[in-house]
Amino acid sequence: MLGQLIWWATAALEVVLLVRGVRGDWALRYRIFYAYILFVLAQSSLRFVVYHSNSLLYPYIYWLTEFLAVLIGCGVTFEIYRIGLSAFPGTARMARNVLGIVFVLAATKALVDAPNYPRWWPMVTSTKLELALRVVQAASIGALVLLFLVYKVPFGKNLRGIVLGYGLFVSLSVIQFAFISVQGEHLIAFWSSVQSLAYLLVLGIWVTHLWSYKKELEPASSVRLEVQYQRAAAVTRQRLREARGYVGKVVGS
Amino acid sequence: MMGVSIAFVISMLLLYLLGVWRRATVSARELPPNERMLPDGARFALESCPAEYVSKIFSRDDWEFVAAMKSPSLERFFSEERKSLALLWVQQTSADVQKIMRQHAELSRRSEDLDFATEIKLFSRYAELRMICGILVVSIELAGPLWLRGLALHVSKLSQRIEQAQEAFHAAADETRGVRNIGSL
Repeated sequence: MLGQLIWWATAALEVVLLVRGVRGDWALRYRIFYAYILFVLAQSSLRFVVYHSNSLLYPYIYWLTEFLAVLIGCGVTFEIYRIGLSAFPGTARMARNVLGIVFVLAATKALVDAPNYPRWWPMVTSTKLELALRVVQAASIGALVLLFLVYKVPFGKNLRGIVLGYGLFVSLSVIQFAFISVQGEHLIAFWSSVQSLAYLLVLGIWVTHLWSYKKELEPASSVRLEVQYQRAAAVTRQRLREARGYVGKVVGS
Repeated sequence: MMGVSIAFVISMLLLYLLGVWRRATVSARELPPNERMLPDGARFALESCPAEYVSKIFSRDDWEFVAAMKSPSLERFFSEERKSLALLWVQQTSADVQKIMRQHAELSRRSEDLDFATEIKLFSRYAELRMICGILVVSIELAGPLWLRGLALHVSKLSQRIEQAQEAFHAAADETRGVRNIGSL
């Protein structure tokens, strides 16, 4: 009963989100995000139909749609980067490098682990594969959020909601799949309920943040950095000299 | 199992970062924007304690003069005053560098000629400097008059701490020296 209520509430919120976005035209601005919501809505309907008509087919449909959702989710991360940093070329450059490092690290770990499991592909479970993909996604979003924090990138209400909601969803998914891969699949029903509730919460965040269109905050112009670097360098060098002088005095005393 | 632990750590870090970021964006909306202050280069020239003052604060000459008076209360008063001044200087230094980095971050985010390696170096220097300031604060708090009186008891421990700080400073300064242009940071 509760499960059905959550299912219907989720579908209703997704429809509200889509209708508001399409009617207000901002669905085009955040097109990958809205495509993701549309996909999740279609996915849950398809799963519902398959579950009640052909339960043998259900696991295949479940994992297929799950992986497609993860892939479109990567697109959402890219959209956050593209829209959020479009007016901040400096931070965007940092983000490209940092994300590059995240992907290189993930690929390296996969390559290092591969010889330990010669028949890794058939052996790996769908849960573990999804966990790995979600971890890379979580690391990417974490790196982006860290850069937003360090560079104090201003965000409009809409994109802030997308980042908060999707980040929360991804981190909770990682926790869920990590528990499943440790405890085995006998608690899958419990974690499935937890995920449904978490997704409902995330949808609540999205609906409140994307109820109406709010323009992204943008700076007036770009700047040349060289002069600023040199000023910052000079002042930092002076501070280092002062601090070192003090350390020398204390040691000498 | 190792992979699962990493997954947990990453997800927890992400949750923490999202929380911090949310708080930061909320407080940023409450503060007046300071974008238009930024192109003014003079803002970087922060007022710092002049070098001769810093030298005077940590000078042994004054201490020797006070000690020669053989007045314990004066010695105690002098130690406390010097400790306060030293702490103030460290805190001011730390706050100044923090301010510089904040301004730098606000400028560099819009820059088209940002250099990844330089940025990383700059942030690592900043982290290093903040850490050393923290060590200095603790050292000054611990040393104070007790450290001066009980030199024999504390010198070993304290010098070890300060040696570590000094090494870090040397590493930073060595890199700074001899490297030209922006990359010198």
